[in-house]
Amino acid sequence: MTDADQLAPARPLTAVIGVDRGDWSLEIAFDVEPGEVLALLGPNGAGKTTALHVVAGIEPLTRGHVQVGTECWDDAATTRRVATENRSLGLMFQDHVLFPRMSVRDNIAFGLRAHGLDKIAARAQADVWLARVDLAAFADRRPAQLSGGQAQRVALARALATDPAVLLLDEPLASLDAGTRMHVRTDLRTHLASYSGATLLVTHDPIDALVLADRVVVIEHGRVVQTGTPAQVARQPRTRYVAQLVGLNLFRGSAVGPVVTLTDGSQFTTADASSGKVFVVVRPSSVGVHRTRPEGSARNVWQASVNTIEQHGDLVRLALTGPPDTIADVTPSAVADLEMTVGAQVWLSAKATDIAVHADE
Amino acid sequence: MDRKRPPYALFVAAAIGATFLLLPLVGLVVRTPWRHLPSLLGQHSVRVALRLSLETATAATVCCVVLGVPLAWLLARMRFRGRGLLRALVILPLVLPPVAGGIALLLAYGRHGVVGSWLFKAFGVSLPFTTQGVIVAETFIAMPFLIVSVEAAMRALDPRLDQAAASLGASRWFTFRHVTLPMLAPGIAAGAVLSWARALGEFGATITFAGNYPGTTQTVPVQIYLLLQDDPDAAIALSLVLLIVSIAILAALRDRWLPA
Repeated sequence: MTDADQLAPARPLTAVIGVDRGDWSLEIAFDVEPGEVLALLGPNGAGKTTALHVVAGIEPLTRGHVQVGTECWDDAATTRRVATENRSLGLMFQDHVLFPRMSVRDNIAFGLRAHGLDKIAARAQADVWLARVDLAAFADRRPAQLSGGQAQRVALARALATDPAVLLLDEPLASLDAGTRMHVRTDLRTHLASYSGATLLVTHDPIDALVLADRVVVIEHGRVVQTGTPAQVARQPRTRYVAQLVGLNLFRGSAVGPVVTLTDGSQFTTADASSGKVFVVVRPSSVGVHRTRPEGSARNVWQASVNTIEQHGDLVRLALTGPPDTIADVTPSAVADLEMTVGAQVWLSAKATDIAVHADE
Repeated sequence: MDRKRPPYALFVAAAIGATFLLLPLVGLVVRTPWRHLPSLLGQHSVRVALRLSLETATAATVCCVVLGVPLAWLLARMRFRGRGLLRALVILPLVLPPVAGGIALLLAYGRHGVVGSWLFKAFGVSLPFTTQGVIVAETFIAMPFLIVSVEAAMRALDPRLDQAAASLGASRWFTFRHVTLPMLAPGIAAGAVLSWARALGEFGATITFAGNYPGTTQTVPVQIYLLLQDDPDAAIALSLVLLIVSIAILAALRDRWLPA
């Protein structure tokens, strides 16, 4: 490996991207620090994948530039463009895109061999990566013999094996079924935490963005509509679209059977039993808001005070101070009926069946 | 649902069609002088022609693969002006009458041809009426089979495999060797077998460009044509050999071309 490769992981990614395609255009800018995970979140057709392809060098820029540290990868002004194979990056696709005629080990060794490492050394490093993603026993298999989740873990190892400055994840969990997605997401979180380069994650799934990213850039119709930490974006959505897309209550805690104790001491009862560190997801529309302590079937009831009231289209989002701090979506008529004002003390409720629990290791 | 009358007219036409196609094969098998077959095929001139045919067809197939695979890659993966026209011209020998192909080859690579005159002056090389000329003629006729087969295989590949390879730092050449080529192997093999079969049976371009010198340019099809006047039994025996080779090739490619 060259010196440049070894220095590679400590460089920030800076992108100012303008792409024109017929009557559609993309106009976004973002920075990703080394060690940071930035999520581009938006619906299909928002331009997220185009942005990722520009960073990868697969699609050209109309305006703007892509820079990593002091190295310019693409600049529309000078028509300078570094070819994909000369950019220090790792790319993970929606469905693994592993090389079908190679063993799992050789898939991971491929990038190292392309960088000039000999076969034996490349395979030895690939084995280290296979152990890291818990697939050492699968080294000699073909990609077709792996499950979807296993294949994505191999794809991650392949992308990280060359120690790239920039890691690009294009809907890395979208093709997996719900159960597998959860496990791979947890895996991904662990590996991203120990990766020192800049990570750009493209996703339409708010849970991916909230769980995996340090910062979220929400894109709609080729434009940035909001930027912030996952908590900021969730608590103060700027548009109705963002409110619906990102508005999730995400609590961290530890589970013993059906009871989850959050870091602030409050407890949730869930429908499914789990154990260890978990995060709990409650949709704002699943949170009931009451003036008096509710009598009924909801298993989880807690007190909170109204912090902000904001209307987004035909729904009103309440940000409430707990513990735990919560966001709740109610209808405008409910706000009137409940005489909701800032500072009001209310009771919140959530059914055990409306609470999703995900392992958080 | 109505019980429909079977379309008898179609059945009759189909039966006539099948009979029409099968009868000549039956005729060949029935009229083959089986008892004399070993001696007919053991004749020196027949053995020489068979050996020349096998050697030239194999050499032509190698040429087809070496030149045709990169050409198929160019047509499938590169975007450039005139790509459609180039593809049409490259596969033209598929439909061009081979005799016309032979004439065209003479005009290009003959001793007075566009390139041939220069080849002769510069290197003293003259292709017409040589074994190399046979290989040139067979390659010309057979290569489109390989290109069509390989290009189709290449188009069926996920272009994201190339993107994945590039993202891992692989050059186009490294990617071609380590990713594309292994995946194309079945398509190349099928194209090579087809090309070989076509080269083995080549007649028109070969006799026009290379003539019929026993031992150097007289391949089995050319010999069959000539034997038909003097020694029909030998012509029949050789035709049977070519039929058996064809059946063997169909059997080898059955998974690809003859879905159950």
